[in-house]
Amino acid sequence: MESVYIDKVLSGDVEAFTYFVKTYKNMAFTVSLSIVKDEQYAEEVTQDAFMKAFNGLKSFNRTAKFKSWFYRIVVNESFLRLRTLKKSKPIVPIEEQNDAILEEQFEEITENHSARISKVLSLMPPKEALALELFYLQEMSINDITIVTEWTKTNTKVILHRARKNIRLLWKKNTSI
Amino acid sequence: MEKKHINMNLEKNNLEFQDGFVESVLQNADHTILTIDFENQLMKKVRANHSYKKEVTSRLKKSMFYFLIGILLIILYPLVSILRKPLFESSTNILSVSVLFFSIIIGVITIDNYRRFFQSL
Repeated sequence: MESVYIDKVLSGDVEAFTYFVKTYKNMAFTVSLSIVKDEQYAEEVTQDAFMKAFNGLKSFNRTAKFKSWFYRIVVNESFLRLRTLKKSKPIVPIEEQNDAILEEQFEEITENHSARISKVLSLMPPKEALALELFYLQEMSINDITIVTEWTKTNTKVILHRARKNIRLLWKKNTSI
Repeated sequence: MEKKHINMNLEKNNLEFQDGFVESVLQNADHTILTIDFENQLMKKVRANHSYKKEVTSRLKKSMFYFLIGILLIILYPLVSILRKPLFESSTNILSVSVLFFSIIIGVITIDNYRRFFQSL
């Protein structure tokens, strides 16, 4: 199905690209958001990723999945943006985050349950949040994650283990406040 | 048999991380959905990019045409002025054949360079 649209785009039918935008925009946005932690930046990264995919469609290897290829672009673009953001606003690791700061951050949020969850996720380190997003929400296998992120299998497992541990830790801190 | 073994390993890897708590936390989070405005804005950008590329390609094609003519003239002018006398005087065609040969090689290299450039667009 997707190869039909790829052929159409490559033959000059720009409108056929709408199919990819409609199909992947929200998924790309959530993946990017898990890394950059800011909706505005995530939106910009999603746009940049789509533009890169459009311009690089010629070089797309048809034997691979379009989804994995596109996610790889999104992940790379997000980490690229994160690097520029980090220079202006360094991210503090969870272990070093002081309880008082966390308390302050959680108190800003209303009693809305889902908003508190989103806050917990926004405090997760980018790589761990990405691993959780890909594995539990996008339902990717470990092998697919290694393709998208270019991490090794062992590294992916380590990141996932750490992510599960940290999300529990943050959740505990959140509920105890 | 080997395929079955690989599949079992795959499943084992994925089952290792099954976690009801994490799944429920993640699924209950706020999921922002991008609006139709985003889609329209993006498609506008894609169309603009496409027409820009088209414009650049046509301009480059034109420039390639003029460039080739220029190269041809640059090569032909000194060759003709140098070889006019011997060409008219001698009855051998060796020189004219070699001039033609080198012109073709230069032409092919130039066209190939442009072809690569267009492909990279």
